[in-house]
Order: sequence, then C-alpha cells, then structure tokens
Amino acid sequence: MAEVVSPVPGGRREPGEVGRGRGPPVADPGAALSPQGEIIEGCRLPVLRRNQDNEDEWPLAEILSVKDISGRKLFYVHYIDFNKRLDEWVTHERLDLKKIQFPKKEAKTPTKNGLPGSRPGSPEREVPASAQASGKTLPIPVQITLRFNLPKEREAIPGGEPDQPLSSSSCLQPNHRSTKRKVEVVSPATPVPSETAPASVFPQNGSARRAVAAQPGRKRKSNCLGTDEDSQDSSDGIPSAPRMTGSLVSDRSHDDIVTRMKNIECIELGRHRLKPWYFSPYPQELTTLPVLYLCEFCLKYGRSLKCLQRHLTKCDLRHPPGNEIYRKGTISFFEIDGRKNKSYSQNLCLLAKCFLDHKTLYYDTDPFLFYVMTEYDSKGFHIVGYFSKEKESTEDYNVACILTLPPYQRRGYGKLLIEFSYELSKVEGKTGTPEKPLSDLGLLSYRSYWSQTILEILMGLKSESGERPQITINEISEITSIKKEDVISTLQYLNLINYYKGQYILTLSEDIVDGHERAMLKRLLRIDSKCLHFTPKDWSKRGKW
Amino acid sequence: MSKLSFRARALDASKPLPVFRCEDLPDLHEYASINRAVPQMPTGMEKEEESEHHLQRAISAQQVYGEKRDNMVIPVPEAESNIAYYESIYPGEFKMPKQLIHIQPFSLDAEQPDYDLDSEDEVFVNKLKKKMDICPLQFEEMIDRLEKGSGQQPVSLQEAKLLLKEDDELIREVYEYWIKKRKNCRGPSLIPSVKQEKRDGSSTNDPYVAFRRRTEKMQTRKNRKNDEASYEKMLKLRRDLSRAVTILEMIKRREKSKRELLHLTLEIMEKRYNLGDYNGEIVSEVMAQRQPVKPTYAIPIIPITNSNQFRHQEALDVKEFKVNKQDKADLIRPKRKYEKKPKVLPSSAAATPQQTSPAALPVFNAKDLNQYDFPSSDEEPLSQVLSGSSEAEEENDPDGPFAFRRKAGCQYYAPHLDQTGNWPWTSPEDGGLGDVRYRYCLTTLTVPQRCIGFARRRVGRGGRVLLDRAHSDYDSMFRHLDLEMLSSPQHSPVNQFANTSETNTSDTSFSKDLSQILVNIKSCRWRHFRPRTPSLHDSDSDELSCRKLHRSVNRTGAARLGTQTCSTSTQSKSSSGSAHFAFTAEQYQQHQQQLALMQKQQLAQIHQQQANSNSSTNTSQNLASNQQKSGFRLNLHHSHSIQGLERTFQGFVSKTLDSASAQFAASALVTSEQLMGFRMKDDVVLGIGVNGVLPASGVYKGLHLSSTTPTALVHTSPSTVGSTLLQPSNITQTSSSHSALSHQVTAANAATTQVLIGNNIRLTVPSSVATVNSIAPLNARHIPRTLSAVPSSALKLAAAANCQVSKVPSSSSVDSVPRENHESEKPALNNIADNTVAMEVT
Repeated sequence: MAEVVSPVPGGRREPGEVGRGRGPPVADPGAALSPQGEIIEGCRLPVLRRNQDNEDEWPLAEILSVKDISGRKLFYVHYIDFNKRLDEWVTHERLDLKKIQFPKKEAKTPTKNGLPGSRPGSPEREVPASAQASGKTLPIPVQITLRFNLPKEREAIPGGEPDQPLSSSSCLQPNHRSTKRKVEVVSPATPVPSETAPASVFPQNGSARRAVAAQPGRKRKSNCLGTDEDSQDSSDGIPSAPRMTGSLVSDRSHDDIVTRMKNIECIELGRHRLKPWYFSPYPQELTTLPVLYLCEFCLKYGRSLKCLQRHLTKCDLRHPPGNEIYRKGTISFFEIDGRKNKSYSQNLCLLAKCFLDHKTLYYDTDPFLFYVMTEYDSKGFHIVGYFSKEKESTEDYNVACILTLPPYQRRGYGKLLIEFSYELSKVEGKTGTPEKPLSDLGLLSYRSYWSQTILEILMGLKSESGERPQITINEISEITSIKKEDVISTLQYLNLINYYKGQYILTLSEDIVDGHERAMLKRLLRIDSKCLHFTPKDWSKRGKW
Repeated sequence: MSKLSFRARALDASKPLPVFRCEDLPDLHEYASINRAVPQMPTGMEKEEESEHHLQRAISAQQVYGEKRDNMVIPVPEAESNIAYYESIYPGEFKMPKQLIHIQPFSLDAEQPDYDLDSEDEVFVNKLKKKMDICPLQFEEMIDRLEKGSGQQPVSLQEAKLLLKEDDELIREVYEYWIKKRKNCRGPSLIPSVKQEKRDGSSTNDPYVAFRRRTEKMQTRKNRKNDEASYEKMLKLRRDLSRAVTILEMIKRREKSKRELLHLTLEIMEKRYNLGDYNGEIVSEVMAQRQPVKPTYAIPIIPITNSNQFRHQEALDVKEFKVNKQDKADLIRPKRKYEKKPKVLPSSAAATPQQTSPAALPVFNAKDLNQYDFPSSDEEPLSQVLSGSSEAEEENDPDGPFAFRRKAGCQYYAPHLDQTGNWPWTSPEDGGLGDVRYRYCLTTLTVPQRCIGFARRRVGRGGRVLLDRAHSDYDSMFRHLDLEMLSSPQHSPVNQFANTSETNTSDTSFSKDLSQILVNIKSCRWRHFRPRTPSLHDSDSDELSCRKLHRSVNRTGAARLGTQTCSTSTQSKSSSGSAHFAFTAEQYQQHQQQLALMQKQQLAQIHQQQANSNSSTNTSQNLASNQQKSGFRLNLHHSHSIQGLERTFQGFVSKTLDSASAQFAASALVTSEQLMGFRMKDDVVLGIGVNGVLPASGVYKGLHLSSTTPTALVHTSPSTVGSTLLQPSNITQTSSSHSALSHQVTAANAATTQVLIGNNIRLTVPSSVATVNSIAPLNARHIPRTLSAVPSSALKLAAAANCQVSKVPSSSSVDSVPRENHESEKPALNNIADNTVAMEVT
C-alpha cells in the first residue's frame, strides 16, 4: 500500500537543476536508493513521454498519485503545461529521479516564463491551506503532511534521518499551512468565502490514496464573462454547490485529487475503444475494470462483454432515443429532452464527461436538450458527437457542452456540430455563443468556424455601384447568429480590423484569403438548412422545462 | 506624427466597416500603431489552460501557416477502432426509415430487466438449468427484482418470496446465489448505477454523486438576489389590490344607497308638501306611531353578495317614515315604486324642495338625515369598512338591550371628529385639556363619608360624575384619614391660595405618616376633593345653563374650592378659558405654580414685613401701580375679544375680596397669557388694540416674541402678580420680589431640593414664621426648574422676552431698580443655561 512509506532516506538533490530535462533517465533504481519510496505526491521530475512524432521527450511532470499493483509502483503524472488529458500512469522507469524536486512548504507553483502554467493538481497544492479557511477539513494522509517537512529536514540534517511516522491521530488534524497559495489560484475578482462547514471525509479508494481537497474559492465563469455569479447557491448554505444553470464549471471547487485523475481506463463503444481523458462519475465499482462496456445506442454501461451481449439482446435501440430533426446523407441529428429521457441523457453525460474537463454532472439533466449527431450505417445510427443546450439560457448560450467523440475527431465533425448549433439559433432568431469556459480544442474549433464563417461573408460581399463593400458587425452577427462579441474577437484574432484614416476598416490580406480558400476546399461536411426540421419551443411557457 | 498620436474611437458594432483588400492600401502599415484601440476580447478559456504548451503551439502554427499542420495539432489519447467482435455482438441490420425518426413517448419503457447476466451468472444459470426450469432472462428478472426490492440491506428470503413469483425452490436457489454474490460485490448494488445524492447533504462534495436534483427553489434569473423578495412583494401587492377592489365595491354600494336615501327623502318631502304638512305634524304623528313598530334600529344583516337585498331593506326602513301608512304586507310595492321614482320625478322638482324644505319644515332639517342612520361617508373615519362577516357581527345588536336607540323628533349632532377625547381630564397628548382639577387627587365621598384615596373625576353621559380611582401605596392610610380634620374650616390665609399649590403632590419625598399626609392635604399641597355641598360662593347660577365644556368644568372647580379666593378662582377660570387658545397643560401648570409661588412668597413677606415693620420704597410702589395700570389697559383692550375673560372679570368683581387694582393686574396677566396663546397672525388687530399704551405693547410684544414659552411666563408673572398682592399691603414687595427673583436665579445652583421642601413646608404652615432669607431659596427652586425644563432656544427667547418686560417700567419712567434687577438676572440666566449659544440680549 502506498501508505506504507519507506523511511529510507534518499539522496538529496539540488532543486535548481530540475527543469524540462532531456537527459537520459536514471534507469537504475538502486542508484537512487530505492527511489520510489520517496517519490510522493507533489514531487516534480522529468518523465519520459513519447510525443505524436514518436519522439521521446522528458517534460517536467508532477506526481499526483502513487499506487502499488502487485508490488509494482505506478505513478500518476501530470505533465506541466500539458493538458490534463495527457496525464497517465507510468512506471518508475520513466521517471528521471536525478532531477526530482520535492514539494516544498510554501512552494509557489513554478510557472514557466512567468506565465501561469497548467495548474498542478497534487494534493499539497490542492489542499487549502487551512481547514478553517476552506470550510472543509481535509483528510490529508499523514505522509503528505509529514513530507512537507521533509526537504527542510534534509537540509538541516544532511544524509537524513528516518522520518518519524506520525501517529494516526494526526490524520484528522487540520493542516496548518498558510492560505497564501490559495490566493494565486483564486481569481481576485471572486472573494474567498470563509464559511466554515463540517468536515467531509471521503472514503479512500483502493490502492491509490485519494486525498480530497477542495478549494475555498468559488471561482466561476466570472473570469471569462465578468458577470457576477449566481446568488442562488451562495445563499443556501450548502457549501460550494455549483450554480444551477449551465453545464460547465470553470471553478475548481470540485477539482479535488479524485476528479483530477482519470478513473476509467478504457471504454468500449460500438466498434471503438476510447481512452478517457478526464474523470467521470461512473459507478465507483466500475472504475477498477480494465474496460467499461457501453451499449452503442443507449449508452448503458456494463461490467463485461457478457453483460453487454446480454444487454443487446434486450435493447432494441438502433438510434438515439429522440426525434430526428436533421438528416442529410448519413448524418442525422437527434433531439433528446433531458427531462423526458433521463437515462439516456445521463449516460450520454457520463460518457461526455470522460472527454470534457469542465463539464459538471452535479445536477440533473432536466434543463437541457441534447442534440446527438449520428452517422448511419447498416447497424444503425452511430453516435459521432453531440452538443447540449439549455432550454432557456440567461446568457445567450446556444451550446452548453459540445463533443466529438475521439474516433471521429479531426474529420470536420466538430465544425459540423458547431454549424448545426448556429443553424438552430438562426431558426430561433437569436444570436448565441458557447458556454464558457472553452477547452483548448473548443477554442480552436470555434475560432476556426467563426473565421471561416465570417470570411465567407466578407469575401462574398459585392461592391454596390462602384463603392467599397461595407458591413457592420451587427449585420455579420445577424447573418451568422454568432454573438457580436465573438464576431469582434474573431475579426481581431484574424487581424482584420484596422484603424485607417479616422475610421475602422476591415482588411483582407492575401494570406487570409488564400488560407480561407484552401480551408473551405477541405470543408466538405456542411449543414444543409433545408434538411433541418426544427421548431423551437418556448420553454419559458412550460413551467419547469 | 500627429496621426499616430491620434486616439482611435471605440469600435461601433452598428457602424459600417468598409472591406478593403490589403493590396489596395499600401500605406496601411503606417496606421498599425493605433490599432491597439481595438478591444481585446477574452478567449473564453480558463486562464491557466490558455497557456498550455500544445495549444499555444497550435495557435501559433495556425497563425503562421494559416491552417493547422498535422504535427501541430493538440495531442489526445489515442482511440482504438475496429473491434473485431463488433459484428458478432451487434447483430442484424437496421434499415434507415424513409421518414425522420420520431419516437413515441413511453415507447422506450419496455419491461426489460436492468440487470445483465454476466459470465459468472451464466455458469450458475446453466447449472441450475439442469435441475429446474430457468432461462437467463428469467434469472435477470429475479435478480433485478431482488435488487430493486433491497435498499441498503438486502431483502430477506421471506421478502424475496413475496417479491418473486417463481417456485420456492428456485427462489431459494437464486436468493442464496444472489446474497453470496452481493456480499462479494464492491458496489452497493449488483446493478451498477450512479451514486445518488444523500438527503442529509453529506454528499455535496462526493465526486461520484451526480445528477443531483435541482433544489426546489424558485427559478429566478441570475444576478437577481431580490427576485424572491420581489415575488413576495408582488403577492402582497396583489392581495392589497384585491382588497382595494373589494373596498371600492363596497363604497359603490354605499354611495348607491345614499343616493337612494336622497331620493327617498325627496319623496317624503314631496309627499308632505302635497299633504300640506308644513309643521311636521303628520310626520311626527307617523313617527310616533312608528315608534313601537319600528324595530330597534337594526339594520338588517347585509349579505355582501346581495346588494339588492340591502337596498330593499333600506327602502323598507325609510318607507316607514312615509306619511302614507304602508302596511307591512305590501312591502314589495313601495320598493318597486321607489325604483321608478327617480325617473318619475323631474329633476327640477327634485332640486327645489330639497332646498326649501329645511326652512319650511323645521323638524326635517338637514341634520335629520342622520336619523336614517345610513353609513355615510362623513362617518367613514369612525366606522371602518369591514369585511362582510364582521360587519354582520356588528349589526347583530352588540349592545343588546343597552343599544343606543334614537328617539324620534330628537336632534342628534354628529360627533365632532376633531374634538374626540377633548375632555378636560384627558391628557393633552390625547387631545384633551389636561385640566389640573381633573387630575388624580385625594377624594372623599360624602355618603358614605370616607376617603377613597386618589381619584379622578370625569363627566359622563348626562352630566353624571364618574370617579376613576387610582391605586397608590397609601390607599390604606387614606381610609383612616380623619375626615373631621379635613372638613374643619380652614381659615388660615395660606389656604386661600392653597388650591394652586398642588404641584407638591408630585414630590416623591413626602413623608409617609398619616399626619404628614393630613398636613399636606390641609395645606392643600395635596389636592383633596369632596363632592360639592351647596356653596355660598357658587353664585353664578347662570353658568349652569352654559353648555360649553370649560364652563361646566369651571363651575365644578368653583364649587369645589369653597374657600378659595376670588383672585385664584379667576385665575383658574380664565386659564380654563385660555386653554381654548391652544395652551398646553404644562404651560398652564407652570404658570399656576409660578403664581402660587409668588403668592405664597409675598404672603409670607407680608407677614414678615408686617411683623418687622420694614420700611418701604416708593419705587416699588410705583412699579407695582404702573404694571397694574398697564395690565389693566391690556385687559381693557383685549378682553372684548375674549368672551371668557369678560366673564371672569365680571365674576371677579362680584367676588372680589382684594382691591380692584389687583384684579385688574391679574386679569391683565391673563390677557397677556391669552394673547400669547393666541399667537394669531393678525398682529395688526392686536397691535391696534395695544396701540394706545406703549408699555403694554412692550409687554405684549415680549410675550408674543417668546411664543408661549413657559419661561416667558416666569418672568412676566412675578411682576404683575407681585403687584397684585402687594397692593393691599402697599409696601415694597415688588422690589423684594424682584430681588428675590434675581436672588433665586443666582442661587439656583446652590440650592438643594431637600432644604427647599423643608422651607416650603414651614412656609405653608400658617404658624410658621417665614423669613426673607427663606423665601429666596424657595423661589430659586421654581425658577431653575422651569428654566431647565425648556430647551435652550426657548431660554434664549425667554431672555429676549425678559428684556422687553423690563421695558415696561422703563418706558413708563419708573425707577431703575427693577431694571437693575433684570440686568442682574442676565448673567444668572447665562449661568443656568450655559449651553445657550449667543444669548440675544438687547
């Protein structure tokens, strides 16, 4: 068990030399004096990783968790400044122990070039400094607390003494580290509530020690939108219950070490095996399975292939259980009401959560509609991707979550989903924007879609009576249903807006035009609005969704 | 370059932007530096993720190459496709329907077990199949039912038998297998399901709990904290509005009824006119006849919903007054007749009799409308508009046999709304006069003759005198009060003025023993009331006929104070009259205190000076006479405007024991008081009245300026009253009183109350020999008290008034002694009210 930490002291290393080293790994554990014994959560060290060009590299990574499977230690690592989806379990052979950097008391997150890096998620960083401040008592494993003192002790006593194991009673004692580190995480716009709440101790799961840490700050989308966040759950005394609208969380209030780590190893869905990117709250007993079997059509999860087979004898669905509102060629869209079809909606959300970091499954699916894009073949309508949408959005969101399943990614389906979402907005006669925060892939996809859509319009403008063609931002917004702010940001991103002789003008450079024309040649999948059979409902008149 | 320093305007989304090709604008790069004015839009990503390595690489690659390059994409965990056994486990073909797929609601709820058999189960089922009849689906159904029947604890075998409909044998087999499997199962159920939220809220942060119910909260818009509150406000508003609607409906009904009443009255008038009933004989005859018949003024219970019935009943009541004697039998007919009436009557005919009738028929004047007792809008403030039920309750004869019944032929006046509670015994806060004589005082009944302790008189209905008793700690003692002692004639001179010295009752430090009380009573420091025995002094019988409230009060006052002197009775009378001029009780009281004090003081001085045969000074005499004169003139000028004063003046003369000049002075004081009370805007009128007498006008103005502050009284009264009392003894009391005044003010701070009380007692006891030295502190007691009672601003005014009072003697060319006195007061005043800023002393 990971709790049993070897007291053998390791050689002390200079913290300064740790970097994103490219040196060879220290393969010999003996040289490191049984190094895995001291590799604990929060350590930083270069870890071998093979990039997409099949080259080995040694990016700096942080140990998030340690587990012991049949005598072999495995380390869950997060590559600093890489997306969490690349986090993985590695053996100690891939660790460069020579450059290990132990977590320090009061250690600030080292960010590269002064930029805020991707936040490391090790417990000692996640743990709020004091229980009083966060309102949650943190069941920090003894070792972790102890280890914080380790480097210091080592400094004092070179060579190191065996660590004194702390009594188990100290487990429950609140951690008395300062709150300073919290402040850097929480956006200054949101005040840190100092409510106190009863301690909630989470069960420690299996082999991996899971210290639950919660953040005191309720950082929401306020960063992105600058809106004052919901008053609803702040008043109701329940600590840090997320807001009830929308489907994404941008705060990390639930970003504890459990949700920091992928919990499902593999999902089998139809003919595909998917490697989940993020945590998903599938039933906990299923997280230990090597493969989780999902029914391709109803998305029900099963323990084993046998179960799936049994299930398929009973499940006669061959398409998502909703109304088909669009069909062109093999591409169809189904609309599913999150209230009427709870089990499918929930299963879809569980699956989607595996690939969406900021998605929250905290609340039920009632206020959402799910638009599932499928591709037809002789077996049925296979899910390709989906997006969810609030029935009533208070913030002009026309998309809550959007996902192309990994097997279908990078083939234009994402843009198709986005295009479809704007088609719906056009029918509704509204402009819309995706709910924030966007993921990296989301940002790229949306920017790409916005750019192409806007450029299409700009290049299609004909000059009237010899004058310069001109257009307002509002007009672009109305034509495309893209929200005004997104239009501006895209124009700005493309560097189209220029101030020239006392007025703003839009300039199309040759690069832009050529690039756009090339991109459009590749963009074959398009939504045909004629194939859309959709009448928007006024959900506000229906009482509760 | 100037164009570079030029600041660009904000981007306007509604302004047309011309679209240029870059090649058309060769000089564009010159303007690049001011492009920073273009707003920077947020990406919409999490800040820390925005800087991630792969994203930045992809973005920069995109910007460099225009399009993404394959190796610059964001890497993701790989997905594996083409599962070999896919074809085998997803059997069959599915043909795409021609139409768009439309699912029927509830078509999905096929009754299929949620439990899916696994390999372990398959082994068991296959084994079991040999013994008994079971198929996998049946097994799944059984497990499904068992699972769903269990909560935290698995169901017992007995319960399982109830749940399942298979053979007992099979049930037991499956049950045992299930129990064993469930025990080894890691999850809470064999059917894996997403963790549910716990009711106690402990699962708030459990990451495995998902799809929590949204709390049953009103869905309010974001960022609107007050939505719930405003929702409640709207509810309240709705309630209030609906109540307003109800009230308006009721008002409408009432006004309709009033209109009907008017028409009916008209009708009656017309009928009487036609009959020639100009004297009201027929009507009164009919009324007399009606009297026994008429139900005791009981407006029938009015059902809210049926206003027609109400109207009907009203009509009925009114009809009874009609000259034409209608039988009860044909009640319906008059109603019908009535309803036609408005149309039949020409409007001109309706208007003229209405106006002439009051003159022609004195019995039926406008007031008589009240006879009908319809709720009128005039009475609205008194009678609340109530909901139907309570209204009905009220109509249900709440007073029973004691209910007020109107007498036919009587005139009833509508209550004066503005004078409710305007009784002499109610406190000024409640709108009354707060008359001193109606305060709680010791009271002795005549039959049986005993003292009942503190009581207050009130005049009840029909002139009955009611006694309100109040409890005090000495109630038991009072019972034993020697009535003989009390009733023994008190001819001591002190007693003459004793009735005004009741202020001492408020002293908390009086002695507790009985004799002390007796002394107090005797010396009239405690008021004592005994029902009137025919008094010699009660000569003004004409007052009995007087209906005015203060008159009757006055009368009782006069009756009570059998031994009182005329001067004081005048004071009380006139003051009661002056109370009409919005005097507050405190002012009056203080004034009286002042008077009493001065009287006492001077009396003592008289005694003392007679004994000592002190020499007198002319100046004081002059002053006194002067003041007296001025007072007299004042009186002459103003008494004509004040009826009550005139009366008192007359009564005064008839009862006078003192010299006439004293009376004049006293009345003059009263007048000035009243003038002060007046504070009317028509200064001109009063000014004319005063015109002839300059010193008087000075007094008046001073008083007027002081705007009824009690302190003004403090300073005016000593001079006048002093002169009043001095007159018979014609010695130097004024000066001494003045000196005493100045003395008192300066000595104010030094004097302690206890000493004062002692002095007071000694003073008031007839036998006591008062000295000049003892008088001064006595006076000092009152002045600071009154002074301290008023705010500093009032003090300031008082000081101004004081100065103008001092004008009186000066302008009438008297000696400078009083002036000096007054001047010596000024620093004293300064001392007392040291919080007074910038005293305006001219």
